[in-house]
Amino acid sequence: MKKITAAILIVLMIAASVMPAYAFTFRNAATLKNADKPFIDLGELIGDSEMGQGGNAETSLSGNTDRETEDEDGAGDAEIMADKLIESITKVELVITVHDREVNVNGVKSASMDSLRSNLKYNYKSGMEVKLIDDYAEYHTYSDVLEVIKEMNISPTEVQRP
Amino acid sequence: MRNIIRKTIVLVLAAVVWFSSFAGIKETFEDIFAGPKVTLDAGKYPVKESKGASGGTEYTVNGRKFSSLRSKEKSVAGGTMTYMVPSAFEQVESPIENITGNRYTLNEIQNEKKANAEDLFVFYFDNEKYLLNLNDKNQREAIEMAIIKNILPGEKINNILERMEFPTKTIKAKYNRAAGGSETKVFDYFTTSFVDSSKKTHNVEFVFTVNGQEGIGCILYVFTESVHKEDILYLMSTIEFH
Repeated sequence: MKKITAAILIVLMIAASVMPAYAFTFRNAATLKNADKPFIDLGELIGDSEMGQGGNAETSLSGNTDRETEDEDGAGDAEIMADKLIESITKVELVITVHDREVNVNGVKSASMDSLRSNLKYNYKSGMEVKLIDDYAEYHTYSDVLEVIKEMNISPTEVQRP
Repeated sequence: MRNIIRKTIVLVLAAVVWFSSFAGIKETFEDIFAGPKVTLDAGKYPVKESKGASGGTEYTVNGRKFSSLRSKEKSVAGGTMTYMVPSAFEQVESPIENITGNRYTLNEIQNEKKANAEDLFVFYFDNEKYLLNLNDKNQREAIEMAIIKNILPGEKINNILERMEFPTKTIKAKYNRAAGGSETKVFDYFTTSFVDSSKKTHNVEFVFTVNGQEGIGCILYVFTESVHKEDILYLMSTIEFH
Protein backbone atom coordinates (compact mmCIF):
# COMPACT_ATOMS: atom_id res chain seq x y z
CA MET A 1 0.00 0.00 0.00
CA LYS A 2 2.81 2.35 0.96
CA LYS A 3 4.59 1.45 -2.27
CA ILE A 4 1.55 2.61 -4.18
CA THR A 5 1.47 5.87 -2.23
CA ALA A 6 5.14 6.44 -2.94
CA ALA A 7 4.66 5.66 -6.63
CA ILE A 8 1.76 8.09 -6.88
CA LEU A 9 3.84 10.71 -5.10
CA ILE A 10 6.69 10.30 -7.59
CA VAL A 11 4.37 10.49 -10.57
CA LEU A 12 2.77 13.65 -9.14
CA MET A 13 6.13 15.27 -8.48
CA ILE A 14 7.42 14.47 -11.96
CA ALA A 15 4.23 15.85 -13.47
CA ALA A 16 4.56 19.02 -11.40
CA SER A 17 8.19 19.40 -12.42
CA VAL A 18 7.38 19.20 -16.11
CA MET A 19 4.48 21.64 -15.87
CA PRO A 20 6.49 24.87 -15.66
CA ALA A 21 8.19 23.91 -18.92
CA TYR A 22 4.85 23.30 -20.61
CA ALA A 23 3.46 26.56 -19.35
CA PHE A 24 5.85 28.32 -21.72
CA THR A 25 5.27 26.06 -24.67
CA PHE A 26 2.97 28.19 -26.81
CA ARG A 27 3.30 31.92 -27.08
CA ASN A 28 1.68 34.47 -29.27
CA ALA A 29 3.25 37.34 -31.10
CA ALA A 30 1.76 40.80 -30.72
CA THR A 31 -0.25 42.07 -33.70
CA LEU A 32 1.31 44.97 -35.54
CA LYS A 33 -0.14 47.88 -37.45
CA ASN A 34 1.54 50.17 -40.02
CA ALA A 35 3.68 47.18 -40.91
CA ASP A 36 2.36 46.01 -44.26
CA LYS A 37 5.89 45.92 -45.63
CA PRO A 38 8.63 44.14 -43.69
CA PHE A 39 10.65 46.61 -41.64
CA ILE A 40 13.74 45.18 -43.27
CA ASP A 41 13.53 43.14 -46.45
CA LEU A 42 16.49 40.80 -46.13
CA GLY A 43 15.65 39.08 -49.41
CA GLU A 44 16.13 42.36 -51.20
CA LEU A 45 19.02 43.79 -49.20
CA ILE A 46 21.32 40.89 -48.48
CA GLY A 47 23.36 38.94 -50.99
CA ASP A 48 22.73 38.49 -54.66
CA SER A 49 19.14 39.47 -55.22
CA GLU A 50 18.93 39.06 -58.99
CA MET A 51 16.46 36.23 -58.67
CA GLY A 52 14.33 38.49 -56.47
CA GLN A 53 11.61 36.04 -55.54
CA GLY A 54 9.09 38.77 -54.87
CA GLY A 55 10.59 39.49 -51.49
CA ASN A 56 9.71 36.02 -50.37
CA ALA A 57 12.86 35.54 -48.39
CA GLU A 58 13.61 31.95 -47.65
CA THR A 59 14.43 31.44 -44.05
CA SER A 60 15.86 28.46 -42.32
CA LEU A 61 16.85 27.64 -38.83
CA SER A 62 20.38 27.64 -37.56
CA GLY A 63 22.19 24.48 -38.24
CA ASN A 64 19.74 23.54 -40.93
CA THR A 65 22.30 23.83 -43.66
CA ASP A 66 21.55 20.62 -45.49
CA ARG A 67 20.41 22.65 -48.49
CA GLU A 68 23.78 24.25 -48.98
CA THR A 69 25.61 20.97 -49.14
CA GLU A 70 23.61 19.99 -52.21
CA ASP A 71 24.45 23.09 -54.12
CA GLU A 72 26.40 21.49 -56.96
CA ASP A 73 25.24 20.49 -60.41
CA GLY A 74 21.64 21.48 -60.02
CA ALA A 75 21.06 19.18 -57.11
CA GLY A 76 19.64 22.28 -55.41
CA ASP A 77 17.26 22.80 -58.35
CA ALA A 78 16.02 19.28 -57.95
CA GLU A 79 15.29 20.05 -54.37
CA ILE A 80 13.30 23.14 -55.32
CA MET A 81 11.31 20.99 -57.76
CA ALA A 82 10.69 18.47 -55.00
CA ASP A 83 9.57 21.25 -52.67
CA LYS A 84 7.15 22.53 -55.30
CA LEU A 85 5.81 19.04 -55.86
CA ILE A 86 5.24 18.53 -52.15
CA GLU A 87 3.60 21.94 -51.99
CA SER A 88 1.17 21.08 -54.76
CA ILE A 89 0.32 17.72 -53.27
CA THR A 90 -0.32 19.13 -49.83
CA LYS A 91 -2.07 22.18 -51.24
CA VAL A 92 -3.38 24.00 -48.23
CA GLU A 93 -6.41 26.12 -48.53
CA LEU A 94 -7.31 29.21 -46.65
CA VAL A 95 -10.95 29.60 -45.70
CA ILE A 96 -12.18 33.06 -44.84
CA THR A 97 -15.66 33.10 -43.38
CA VAL A 98 -17.63 36.26 -42.91
CA HIS A 99 -20.62 35.84 -40.62
CA ASP A 100 -22.49 39.02 -39.78
CA ARG A 101 -19.59 41.31 -38.76
CA GLU A 102 -17.29 38.49 -37.69
CA VAL A 103 -14.35 37.48 -39.87
CA ASN A 104 -12.61 34.13 -39.40
CA VAL A 105 -9.54 32.81 -41.18
CA ASN A 106 -9.32 29.03 -40.89
CA GLY A 107 -11.38 29.32 -37.74
CA VAL A 108 -9.26 32.06 -36.16
CA LYS A 109 -11.18 35.25 -35.50
CA SER A 110 -9.80 38.50 -36.92
CA ALA A 111 -10.78 41.42 -34.74
CA SER A 112 -10.20 44.06 -37.40
CA MET A 113 -9.25 44.51 -41.03
CA ASP A 114 -5.68 45.20 -39.88
CA SER A 115 -5.47 41.91 -38.06
CA LEU A 116 -7.03 40.16 -41.07
CA ARG A 117 -4.35 41.74 -43.20
CA SER A 118 -1.54 40.56 -40.95
CA ASN A 119 -3.14 37.15 -40.54
CA LEU A 120 -3.25 36.73 -44.31
CA LYS A 121 0.25 38.05 -44.62
CA TYR A 122 1.56 35.32 -42.33
CA ASN A 123 -0.60 32.50 -43.56
CA TYR A 124 -1.09 33.10 -47.25
CA LYS A 125 1.48 31.64 -49.59
CA SER A 126 1.25 32.11 -53.33
CA GLY A 127 -0.53 29.30 -55.07
CA MET A 128 -2.73 28.66 -52.06
CA GLU A 129 -6.42 28.23 -52.72
CA VAL A 130 -8.48 30.85 -50.92
CA LYS A 131 -12.19 30.41 -50.27
CA LEU A 132 -14.27 33.37 -49.17
CA ILE A 133 -17.51 32.23 -47.58
CA ASP A 134 -20.41 34.65 -47.30
CA ASP A 135 -22.17 33.26 -44.25
CA TYR A 136 -24.93 35.84 -43.95
CA ALA A 137 -22.28 38.53 -43.88
CA GLU A 138 -22.92 42.14 -43.11
CA TYR A 139 -22.58 43.98 -46.43
CA HIS A 140 -19.91 46.49 -45.36
CA THR A 141 -17.81 43.89 -43.54
CA TYR A 142 -17.91 41.62 -46.58
CA SER A 143 -16.88 44.36 -48.97
CA ASP A 144 -14.09 45.47 -46.60
CA VAL A 145 -12.80 41.89 -46.47
CA LEU A 146 -12.99 41.63 -50.24
CA GLU A 147 -11.01 44.84 -50.52
CA VAL A 148 -8.28 43.60 -48.18
CA ILE A 149 -8.04 40.34 -50.12
CA LYS A 150 -7.83 42.07 -53.50
CA GLU A 151 -5.30 44.54 -52.11
CA MET A 152 -3.04 41.57 -51.39
CA ASN A 153 -3.49 40.26 -54.93
CA ILE A 154 -5.36 37.21 -53.77
CA SER A 155 -8.16 36.02 -56.00
CA PRO A 156 -10.57 34.03 -53.86
CA THR A 157 -13.29 31.62 -54.80
CA GLU A 158 -16.43 33.22 -53.43
CA VAL A 159 -18.94 30.87 -51.93
CA GLN A 160 -22.36 31.78 -50.61
CA ARG A 161 -23.68 29.73 -47.74
CA PRO A 162 -27.26 28.75 -48.57
CA MET B 1 13.00 1.03 9.73
CA ARG B 2 13.44 0.00 6.09
CA ASN B 3 10.17 1.64 5.34
CA ILE B 4 11.32 4.93 6.80
CA ILE B 5 14.54 4.83 4.75
CA ARG B 6 12.60 4.02 1.62
CA LYS B 7 10.16 6.85 2.31
CA THR B 8 12.99 9.30 2.89
CA ILE B 9 14.70 8.31 -0.36
CA VAL B 10 11.44 8.75 -2.26
CA LEU B 11 10.87 12.16 -0.70
CA VAL B 12 14.41 13.33 -1.40
CA LEU B 13 14.18 12.13 -5.00
CA ALA B 14 10.85 13.87 -5.43
CA ALA B 15 12.23 17.06 -3.93
CA VAL B 16 15.21 16.98 -6.32
CA VAL B 17 12.91 16.56 -9.30
CA TRP B 18 10.66 19.33 -7.97
CA PHE B 19 13.46 21.83 -7.43
CA SER B 20 15.14 21.06 -10.71
CA SER B 21 11.97 22.25 -12.41
CA PHE B 22 12.57 25.74 -11.09
CA ALA B 23 16.33 25.97 -10.96
CA GLY B 24 18.58 24.48 -13.60
CA ILE B 25 16.02 23.01 -15.95
CA LYS B 26 15.51 26.11 -18.07
CA GLU B 27 19.25 26.47 -18.50
CA THR B 28 19.54 22.80 -19.31
CA PHE B 29 16.85 23.14 -21.97
CA GLU B 30 18.66 26.17 -23.32
CA ASP B 31 21.96 24.33 -23.46
CA ILE B 32 20.39 21.52 -25.38
CA PHE B 33 18.12 23.42 -27.74
CA ALA B 34 19.50 26.92 -28.03
CA GLY B 35 21.74 26.03 -30.94
CA PRO B 36 24.75 28.20 -31.59
CA LYS B 37 25.96 30.63 -28.95
CA VAL B 38 25.13 34.26 -29.55
CA THR B 39 27.87 36.31 -31.18
CA LEU B 40 27.04 39.67 -29.61
CA ASP B 41 27.24 38.23 -26.10
CA ALA B 42 27.21 41.29 -23.85
CA GLY B 43 27.83 39.08 -20.81
CA LYS B 44 30.87 37.28 -22.22
CA TYR B 45 32.50 40.41 -23.65
CA PRO B 46 31.95 43.14 -21.07
CA VAL B 47 32.66 46.75 -22.03
CA LYS B 48 35.10 48.48 -19.70
CA GLU B 49 34.79 52.24 -19.50
CA SER B 50 37.48 54.64 -18.40
CA LYS B 51 38.41 58.28 -18.82
CA GLY B 52 40.59 58.66 -21.93
CA ALA B 53 44.10 60.08 -21.51
CA SER B 54 43.40 62.79 -24.10
CA GLY B 55 39.87 63.42 -22.92
CA GLY B 56 36.58 61.75 -23.74
CA THR B 57 35.66 58.27 -22.64
CA GLU B 58 37.54 55.15 -23.57
CA TYR B 59 35.79 51.84 -24.03
CA THR B 60 37.63 48.52 -24.02
CA VAL B 61 35.90 45.45 -25.44
CA ASN B 62 37.66 42.12 -25.79
CA GLY B 63 41.04 43.90 -25.99
CA ARG B 64 39.90 46.50 -28.53
CA LYS B 65 39.71 50.18 -27.59
CA PHE B 66 37.16 52.74 -28.73
CA SER B 67 37.19 56.40 -27.86
CA SER B 68 34.20 58.70 -27.72
CA LEU B 69 36.42 61.26 -29.48
CA ARG B 70 36.69 59.03 -32.54
CA SER B 71 33.02 58.12 -32.49
CA LYS B 72 29.81 59.70 -33.68
CA GLU B 73 26.56 59.87 -31.77
CA LYS B 74 23.56 58.72 -33.76
CA SER B 75 19.98 59.56 -33.07
CA VAL B 76 16.89 57.70 -34.27
CA ALA B 77 13.13 58.13 -33.77
CA GLY B 78 13.44 61.87 -33.32
CA GLY B 79 16.04 61.51 -30.57
CA THR B 80 14.19 58.82 -28.60
CA MET B 81 17.13 56.45 -29.04
CA THR B 82 20.79 57.41 -29.33
CA TYR B 83 23.92 55.31 -29.67
CA MET B 84 27.58 55.74 -30.54
CA VAL B 85 29.36 54.27 -33.56
CA PRO B 86 33.05 54.32 -34.51
CA SER B 87 33.54 57.14 -37.06
CA ALA B 88 34.33 54.67 -39.86
CA PHE B 89 30.75 53.38 -39.66
CA GLU B 90 29.52 56.66 -41.12
CA GLN B 91 31.00 55.80 -44.53
CA VAL B 92 28.67 52.86 -44.83
CA GLU B 93 25.57 54.25 -43.13
CA SER B 94 22.19 54.54 -44.84
CA PRO B 95 18.71 55.00 -43.43
CA ILE B 96 16.37 52.00 -43.22
CA GLU B 97 13.39 52.57 -45.50
CA ASN B 98 10.47 51.13 -43.59
CA ILE B 99 11.30 51.86 -39.95
CA THR B 100 13.33 54.54 -38.19
CA GLY B 101 16.94 53.45 -37.96
CA ASN B 102 20.20 52.95 -39.81
CA ARG B 103 21.84 50.25 -41.84
CA TYR B 104 25.60 49.71 -41.84
CA THR B 105 27.14 47.59 -44.61
CA LEU B 106 30.20 46.83 -42.52
CA ASN B 107 32.01 44.73 -45.11
CA GLU B 108 32.26 47.83 -47.30
CA ILE B 109 34.25 49.96 -44.84
CA GLN B 110 37.29 51.26 -46.72
CA ASN B 111 40.69 49.63 -46.17
CA GLU B 112 39.05 46.61 -44.66
CA LYS B 113 36.72 45.55 -47.48
CA LYS B 114 35.56 42.00 -47.23
CA ALA B 115 33.73 39.90 -49.77
CA ASN B 116 31.45 38.35 -47.20
CA ALA B 117 28.38 40.36 -46.29
CA GLU B 118 28.31 41.80 -42.81
CA ASP B 119 25.24 43.94 -42.27
CA LEU B 120 24.08 45.72 -39.17
CA PHE B 121 20.68 47.30 -38.71
CA VAL B 122 19.95 49.49 -35.70
CA PHE B 123 16.36 50.58 -35.38
CA TYR B 124 13.66 51.62 -32.96
CA PHE B 125 10.25 50.02 -32.61
CA ASP B 126 7.73 52.50 -31.28
CA ASN B 127 4.94 50.69 -29.42
CA GLU B 128 2.36 53.38 -30.08
CA LYS B 129 3.10 53.49 -33.77
CA TYR B 130 3.25 49.77 -34.45
CA LEU B 131 1.15 47.93 -31.86
CA LEU B 132 -2.40 47.34 -32.99
CA ASN B 133 -3.39 46.85 -29.38
CA LEU B 134 -1.44 49.18 -27.12
CA ASN B 135 -2.29 46.94 -24.14
CA ASP B 136 0.38 44.61 -25.53
CA LYS B 137 3.08 47.12 -24.63
CA ASN B 138 4.03 45.13 -21.52
CA GLN B 139 4.39 41.92 -23.52
CA ARG B 140 8.09 42.25 -24.29
CA GLU B 141 8.52 38.81 -25.79
CA ALA B 142 5.32 39.02 -27.83
CA ILE B 143 6.49 42.28 -29.38
CA GLU B 144 9.96 40.96 -30.08
CA MET B 145 8.41 37.90 -31.70
CA ALA B 146 6.21 40.12 -33.85
CA ILE B 147 9.25 42.11 -35.02
CA ILE B 148 11.09 38.91 -35.97
CA LYS B 149 8.04 37.55 -37.76
CA ASN B 150 7.73 40.79 -39.69
CA ILE B 151 11.31 40.54 -40.92
CA LEU B 152 11.56 36.77 -41.28
CA PRO B 153 8.20 35.41 -42.33
CA GLY B 154 7.89 31.67 -42.75
CA GLU B 155 6.47 28.64 -41.07
CA LYS B 156 9.72 27.46 -39.53
CA ILE B 157 10.25 30.79 -37.85
CA ASN B 158 6.68 30.79 -36.58
CA ASN B 159 7.12 27.32 -35.19
CA ILE B 160 10.31 28.04 -33.34
CA LEU B 161 9.03 31.33 -31.97
CA GLU B 162 5.79 29.90 -30.70
CA ARG B 163 7.48 27.09 -28.84
CA MET B 164 10.04 27.15 -26.12
CA GLU B 165 13.20 28.39 -27.78
CA PHE B 166 12.41 32.10 -27.61
CA PRO B 167 14.29 34.16 -26.69
CA THR B 168 17.43 32.14 -27.37
CA LYS B 169 19.05 33.95 -24.50
CA THR B 170 18.48 36.85 -22.16
CA ILE B 171 21.65 38.51 -20.93
CA LYS B 172 22.02 41.19 -18.28
CA ALA B 173 25.08 43.35 -18.90
CA LYS B 174 26.35 45.64 -16.17
CA TYR B 175 28.28 48.68 -17.32
CA ASN B 176 30.41 50.66 -14.90
CA ARG B 177 30.28 54.15 -16.32
CA ALA B 178 33.43 56.26 -16.54
CA ALA B 179 31.42 59.24 -15.36
CA GLY B 180 30.51 57.27 -12.23
CA GLY B 181 27.72 54.92 -11.31
CA SER B 182 26.69 51.78 -13.11
CA GLU B 183 23.91 50.75 -15.42
CA THR B 184 22.41 47.38 -16.19
CA LYS B 185 21.00 46.68 -19.62
CA VAL B 186 18.97 43.60 -20.44
CA PHE B 187 19.32 42.15 -23.93
CA ASP B 188 17.12 39.49 -25.48
CA TYR B 189 18.66 37.45 -28.25
CA PHE B 190 17.31 35.36 -31.06
CA THR B 191 19.51 33.61 -33.58
CA THR B 192 18.72 31.89 -36.84
CA SER B 193 20.06 31.82 -40.38
CA PHE B 194 18.96 33.31 -43.64
CA VAL B 195 19.47 31.89 -47.13
CA ASP B 196 19.76 34.53 -49.83
CA SER B 197 18.64 34.03 -53.42
CA SER B 198 22.08 32.80 -54.46
CA LYS B 199 21.68 30.14 -51.76
CA LYS B 200 24.31 31.60 -49.50
CA THR B 201 23.62 31.16 -45.80
CA HIS B 202 24.02 34.09 -43.44
CA ASN B 203 23.89 34.08 -39.67
CA VAL B 204 21.11 36.21 -38.27
CA GLU B 205 21.12 37.62 -34.79
CA PHE B 206 18.44 39.83 -33.27
CA VAL B 207 19.20 41.76 -30.10
CA PHE B 208 16.46 43.66 -28.28
CA THR B 209 16.54 46.03 -25.37
CA VAL B 210 13.36 47.62 -24.06
CA ASN B 211 12.68 51.28 -23.50
CA GLY B 212 10.20 50.83 -20.66
CA GLN B 213 6.71 50.62 -22.13
CA GLU B 214 7.51 53.06 -24.91
CA GLY B 215 9.28 50.84 -27.36
CA ILE B 216 12.17 48.53 -28.12
CA GLY B 217 15.68 49.24 -29.38
CA CYS B 218 16.52 46.60 -31.97
CA ILE B 219 19.69 45.34 -33.52
CA LEU B 220 19.72 42.97 -36.45
CA TYR B 221 23.10 41.54 -37.34
CA VAL B 222 23.41 39.54 -40.56
CA PHE B 223 26.82 38.08 -41.31
CA THR B 224 28.81 35.20 -42.69
CA GLU B 225 31.98 36.38 -40.97
CA SER B 226 31.80 38.47 -37.81
CA VAL B 227 34.54 41.07 -38.20
CA HIS B 228 33.05 43.93 -36.18
CA LYS B 229 31.75 42.12 -33.11
CA GLU B 230 33.55 44.44 -30.65
CA ASP B 231 32.37 47.57 -32.47
CA ILE B 232 28.78 46.41 -32.16
CA LEU B 233 29.16 45.46 -28.49
CA TYR B 234 30.50 48.97 -27.93
CA LEU B 235 27.49 50.38 -29.81
CA MET B 236 25.13 48.27 -27.67
CA SER B 237 26.68 49.53 -24.46
CA THR B 238 26.04 53.14 -25.50
CA ILE B 239 22.35 52.80 -26.41
CA GLU B 240 20.36 55.36 -24.48
CA PHE B 241 16.65 56.20 -24.44
CA HIS B 242 15.47 59.75 -23.89
